[in-house]
Amino acid sequence: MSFFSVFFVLGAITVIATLVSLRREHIRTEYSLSWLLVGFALAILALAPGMTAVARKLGIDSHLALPIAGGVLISMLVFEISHRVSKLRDENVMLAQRIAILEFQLRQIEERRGEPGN
Amino acid sequence: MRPNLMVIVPALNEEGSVGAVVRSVRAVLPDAPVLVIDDHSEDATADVAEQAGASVIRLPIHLGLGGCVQTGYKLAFELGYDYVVRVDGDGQHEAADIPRILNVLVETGVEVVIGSRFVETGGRHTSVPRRLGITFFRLLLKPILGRTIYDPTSGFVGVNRRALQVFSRSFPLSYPEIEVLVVLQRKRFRFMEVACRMHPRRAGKSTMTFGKSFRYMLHVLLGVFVNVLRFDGRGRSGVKEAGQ
Repeated sequence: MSFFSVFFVLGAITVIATLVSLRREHIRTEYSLSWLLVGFALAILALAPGMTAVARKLGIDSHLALPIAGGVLISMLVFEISHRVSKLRDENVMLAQRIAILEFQLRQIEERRGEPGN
Repeated sequence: MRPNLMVIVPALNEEGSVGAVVRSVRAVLPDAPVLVIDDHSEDATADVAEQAGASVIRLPIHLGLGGCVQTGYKLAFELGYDYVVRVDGDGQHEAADIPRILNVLVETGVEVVIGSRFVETGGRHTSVPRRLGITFFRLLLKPILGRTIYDPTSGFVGVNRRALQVFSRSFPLSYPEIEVLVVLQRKRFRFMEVACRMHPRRAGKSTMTFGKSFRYMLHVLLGVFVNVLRFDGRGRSGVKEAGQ
């Protein structure tokens, strides 16, 4: 198996794994898009005939070009995931606080009415 | 007219000390409601606090100190309180000093008053590593704030309704004390330090290990840096020196 076909297979596996996860509802559609893009991009870059020439022009060893491209794509993906996790964390904190405050107020209303919860 | 004050006590696994903290606050300020925010403790913190006479908010998940304190601020703001004083649940803060913080808030109109262990007492009960950390942050904050804050890590803090409104919307979630100072500067809020007594924790162990302390330093440095980047250049004139 050639060096480039390894990256083609990696890209294909990423796409297939994402599609299988989507089908089993292990991943939501909006979060799968980035993984599909990375998988397709890896596969296309591995097959692209001009990849070696581009690498040479940039002064990069042609065998390093694909790992670098793959690394950049994955880094972008991880960055995007960090964004989403941060947003989810903020929303989680807000929800937990709201639940705690509402429960507190509910308990106070029940105590005032003399009707403790079950 | 008596100031409309709520005392909030963030607490995580403080069953050994929170009861005494609540009782001491109630002894000093019998009319002020004491709200303990239980940060999803694994022990009987919430029950002990309730038995001691506090109202208790039980967080459904662990939020960390900032999220815990902000919950108290949110509730106090929604209930219409004009002043909130935060006291830690480990018993390090002296309840008898709360009226002093409140008086400064009411009389000067500053948005935030920080109870400082260094202004007069020299911080007798402070460990050497903490003292070093405080000195580091004091030096770091001086050029940013344009003044010296003697006890930037103090959790003994009083706020008025204006600060409460801002903090109930936005508050640093993990290690709030130092970041908040930079936020205050950005908002042109005035803050003062007043001398307060601090004691060693009454019971239990501090959650601060060496690894956590290191992470704390990095986290706070990053938080300060980010907040400085947001600095809108209007802050310094709004700052009021202690004692003015």
